Formats: sequence, C-alpha cells, structure tokens
Amino acid sequence: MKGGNQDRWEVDFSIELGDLTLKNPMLAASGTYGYGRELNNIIKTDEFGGICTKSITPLARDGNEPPRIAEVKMGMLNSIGLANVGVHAFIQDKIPFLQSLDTNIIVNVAGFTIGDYVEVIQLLEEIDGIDGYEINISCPNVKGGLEFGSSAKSAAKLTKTLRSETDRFLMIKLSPNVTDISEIALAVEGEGANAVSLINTLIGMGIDINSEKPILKNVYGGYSGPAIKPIALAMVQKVYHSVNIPLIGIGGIMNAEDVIQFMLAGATAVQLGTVNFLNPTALTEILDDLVAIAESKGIRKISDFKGRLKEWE
Amino acid sequence: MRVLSNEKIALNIYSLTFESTALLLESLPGQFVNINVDGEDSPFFRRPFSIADVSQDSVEIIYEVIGAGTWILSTMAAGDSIDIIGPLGEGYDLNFSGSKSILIGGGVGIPPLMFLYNKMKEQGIELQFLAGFKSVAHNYIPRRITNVQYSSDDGSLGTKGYVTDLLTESLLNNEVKHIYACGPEPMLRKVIEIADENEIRCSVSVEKVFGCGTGICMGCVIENSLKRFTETGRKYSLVCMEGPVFDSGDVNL
Ligand SMILES: Cc1cc2nc3c(=O)[nH]c(=O)nc-3n(C[C@H](O)[C@H](O)[C@H](O)COP(=O)(O)OP(=O)(O)OC[C@H]3O[C@@H](n4cnc5c(N)ncnc54)[C@H](O)[C@@H]3O)c2cc1C
Ligand SMILES: Cc1cc2nc3c(=O)[nH]c(=O)nc-3n(C[C@H](O)[C@H](O)[C@H](O)COP(=O)(O)O)c2cc1C
Ligand code: FES
Repeated sequence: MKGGNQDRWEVDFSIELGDLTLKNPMLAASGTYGYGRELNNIIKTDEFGGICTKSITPLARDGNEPPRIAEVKMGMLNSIGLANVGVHAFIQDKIPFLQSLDTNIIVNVAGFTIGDYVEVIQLLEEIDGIDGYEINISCPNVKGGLEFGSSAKSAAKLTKTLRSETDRFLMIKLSPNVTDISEIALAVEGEGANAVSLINTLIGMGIDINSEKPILKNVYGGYSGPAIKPIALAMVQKVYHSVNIPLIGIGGIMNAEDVIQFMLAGATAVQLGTVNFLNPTALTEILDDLVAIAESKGIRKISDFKGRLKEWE
Repeated sequence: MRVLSNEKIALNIYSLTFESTALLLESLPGQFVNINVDGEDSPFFRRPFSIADVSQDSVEIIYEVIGAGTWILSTMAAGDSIDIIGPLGEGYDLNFSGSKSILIGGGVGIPPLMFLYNKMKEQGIELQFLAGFKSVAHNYIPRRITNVQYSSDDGSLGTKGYVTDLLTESLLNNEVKHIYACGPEPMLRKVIEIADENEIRCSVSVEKVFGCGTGICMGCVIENSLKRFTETGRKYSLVCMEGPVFDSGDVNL
C-alpha cells in the first residue's frame, strides 16, 4: 500500500484458530523471536497476531557448542539445540512482559521425555495470560528430539497425554523430516490437537573445504529460510487435504506474496521465522502489502484466501 | 537510510557515512550497526560493523573488503538507500572516573576505539592509543587523532612487530588503570594475558558470526565465566546483545 490513507482498502485481517481469535494471521515463529521483548524497540511486538516463544524445557539449557549458526544458499543452518532459560526462569522473568502484550501468547514446549512436556505444561497451567501451547515434537537438533515427531504412534501418544493436562489451545508442530507428514497430522488430530503448525527445519549440513570439517560443531543443523518454502508449501497443501483442524504454515516466508501462497495452499495462519533476523520490521511491510494484494483481488476478508488454490483443468 | 559518502581511505579499506537518526545519535562506542547488504539473497545474514563516529548529521563505519558482503558495500554510492539497524549491543563502560587508559587495536578493530577516543578526549581523559596494521598502506587513522603509537607487520609504519609488544613496553613506564581492546582474537588473547599479569582492568570487543545481531537467534555465543543465568542458559553469553564489549574476566576467548 503505497498510496495515501483516505481510500485505504479495508481488509478484515482477523482469523479464528479454534477458540482463539487472532487480529491477523501472522505469528512469530518459535526460536526466531526470542521471548518477545528483544525487538520491541524496533517493532511493536503486539502487531503480531500471536507470538510463539522459544522452546521451553523443564531446566535451563545452554544448547549446543558453537559454531551453531551458519549462512548457506537462500537460508541458514542452526544447531542451537534448544537453548532456553528453563520453565522456572521463563515464568519469573519472561512471562510478565508477554502478559503485558496485546497479542496471543503461545508457549512452545519441548522435551526429551513425555514427562518433560507434562512438567512444563503443568507449571504453565497455573499462569494467566497464556493462550495456548505449541508442542515442538520435531526439533532435529538434539539426540532423541525427533522421536515423538518421527512416528504417528509416538506423536499420538504425546498429544493424548498433553490433551488430558490442558484445556488450552494445543497445537502440534510437525517435522518435515518424515516419510509421510499427513499420517502424523491425522494421528495428532485424532487425539484432540486443536491445530498443527508446519514445518519445522529440515535436517541439513554444510562443509568447509578449507578445514575439511562440517561448518557446524554439531555436524547437522536445521535448514530454514526462503530455500525451504517450496517444501513447506507442498507439505501444507498435502496436510490440508488430510485433516480438518486449522493449519499454520511455516517455512521461508519473507513477504506478503509468500503469506498468500501458504493461505491458498490451506493455511489459516502463518509464522514468520528466519525473516525476523534479516528484517525485523517484515511484519509491518507484509501487513501493508497484503492490503494491496487483497485490493487487487477484491478481497475484504483475509481468511477468504484460505484453501482457494485452484486446480488445473 | 541514505548513504552520504563511501570512500576508499586505505588499502582495501573504506569509510562509509550515512544519515543519522535520533536513535543513532545516542550510540555509544563499542556499539554496532547491522547492515543488510543484499536484500534477502546472498549474502544471507546482515553484516555487523562497529560505529566509528556519530555526529548530528551522519554516522561513520570503516570496513575492510574481505568477502562478498563487504564487496557489495564498497560499490554503494552517495544517495543510495541502505538498510541499516542500530545502534545494537552493549558498548564500552564510559564511567572513566579520570583513570589512565590505553586503547589498543589492530586492523579494522580500530574503528570503535576511534569513537571511544573522541568521547574520552571530550572528557579530558588521559590516554594512549596503540594501533597495529599490516603495513603503512592499511593505516586509515585520521590526523585529528594525535599521539598514536604504531606497529606494523612489515615495519613500514612505526615499530616492526606486534601491537601487543607496544603494550608491554608502555606498561613498563606508565601506571594504567584500564585497557580497551579490539582486534583479531589472537591479539585480544595476548592483550588479556598482559592485562592479567599486570592486574589491569581490560575491556575487549569480540567478533562472532551474527545471525540476527538483535539477540533472538542465539547463534553468536561465547563461553562465559559468570556462573549465573544469561539469555541462553548459563554457559554462554550472546555476543550481539550482552556484548560485543565484555570485561575480559567474564568471557573465555
Ligand atoms: C560486533 C562486530 C563489529 C565489527 N566491526 C567491524 C568494523 O568496524 N569494520 C570491519 O571491517 N569489520 C567489522 N566486523 C567484521 C565484519 O562484520 C565482517 O568482516 C563482515 O561481516 C564480512 O562480510 P563479507 O561478506 O565481506 O565476508 P565473508 O566472506 O562472508 O566472511 C569473511 C569472514 O567474515 C566473518 N563474518 C562473516 N559474516 C559475519 C557476520 N554476520 N558477523 C560477523 N562476522 C562475520 C567471518 O569470520 C568470515 O570468516 C565486525 C564484526 C562484528 C561481529
Ligand atoms: C535459529 C533458529 C532457532 C529455532 N528454534 C526453534 C525452537 O526452539 N523451537 C521450535 O519449535 N522451532 C524452532 N525453530 C524453527 C522455526 O520456528 C521454523 O519452524 C523454521 O525456522 C522454518 O521457518 P522459517 O524458514 O521461516 O525460518 C528455529 C529456527 C531457527 C532458524
Ligand atoms: S546474532 Fe542472533 S543472537 Fe546474537
């Protein structure tokens, strides 16, 4: 939207995610927005429809040894390894700021055993101002971290347990590093998940030919950024045809066109990840540009884009 | 933001100035700006540069062309628009309390010390400036900065050898309360060793690859010796947010 304000095309950006109403379909992706506060003097954090926090585990974690990020073609590799302050410090130091925001707070939870997830959620159930949980069953960085996400059976079991612990919005974040992502989406839907978010990072690796070593100390890392968008779109489109719960599309979103593509493929909302590192004000630009795209297509309600993907004759 | 000038000032080294903002006017020595040199393609990450000077109208950075990102930067011209965020990070402690100080830098580690020099001069702090370069052709320190003692690898400028040799020598004759250092890691390690031997407080500015520069990716870690929680667990500190300037005793370089 480059023009003046008088004739601004009015677009209703709000969307429904289960019982939650988001003022717009853009959430900050876990691990790419810290605890919500860091960028608050560059962009108003509550412009987001929601914030997914860094993955929270029962105890503080230092994460993997550096180097643990690297730039590669059209994206980056990370092997942060779930570094976080732990649930207790999270509640004490990070929650008060999050509570003060006028946006939906989705706490991302990670663990190595079902007990880890339960412990974090039980503590967070006591806290006001949390709108839901995103369950990271897919972080490829830590040994064992892939387990719940890599089989439909274990994903279903975890979802079932967590469903019995909370009535809050429960979203399962799916891994792309599996044979059939739809099967896992179906399994967690069957156990009462309110939504699925996809995709987490793809397993990748870089090699330095001078040192003849992997570029990450951890050898493998998660690939994110524009390079993974085609893969993410295909997975969203597939899962959209398999389940009825809402999908949150993630992967390489850099601009408004990307957001529309995910919505056409079936996503109700999207998450902005790596783009926050490159362009902390991306959200503001995306909101403006979405108005222009909606106007060009005569659309007044952003949710009308959802699943509008047409078939070839 | 708009580029005001971009000039070669030494071998492979450029000075770039751009429009100042209210926020940038408050920049402190040791803080940096993070520049998106090429949209979203390649290089992918932003590139961090220390602030070399700030005035009412402009901010200066000084950079060496060493790869694709800095090469693209060197092709920018006055009037071009440039995507910059900053000031970022924690700079040097400016609580000088009239102490005698040494600023010691190597190569393109010197720009933040030039900014610090200005602040110290404003406050009348007594200081010594030690600067090391590969050769005289690499020297870009402006004339207004006086009393600099130089070293160079090939002896074409000042004393032949390491800038840390100048430090050792200087400490023999002077009582110094605080050393401020910025430069390549091997140089910093040597500075810290000398500071420790002489029991002098030492602040170092550290470089790591930055994914974001704003404290959200948790990639730019350095091992610390703080024994308390940081933003990223306990063992590491974030260089971009908790640094880039650290007290030498707080980090393990
Ligand atoms: C806090 C800070 C302040 C700095 N200040 C200055 C300065 O005042 N003047 C100056 O000339 N240089 C400075 N640097 C270094 C400068 O950022 C790198 O030289 C630049 O990023 C190289 O980019 P390139 O694409 O040209 O080179 P590349 O080919 O990408 O890389 C060459 C080398 O630069 C380093 N590097 C690459 N990307 C990054 C990154 N995102 N963050 C940090 N280092 C990286 C790596 O060690 C690499 O080996 C600073 C770095 C940091 C972290
Ligand atoms: C540095 C970094 C850290 C991340 N940390 C987490 C995390 O803690 N938990 C999680 O569920 N996903 C994490 N992710 C994955 C992102 O939330 C997102 O799913 C992925 O990066 C793909 O989206 P993008 O291409 O837009 O970045 C992380 C990604 C990056 C780049
Ligand atoms: S560079 Fe991202 S946290 Fe420091």
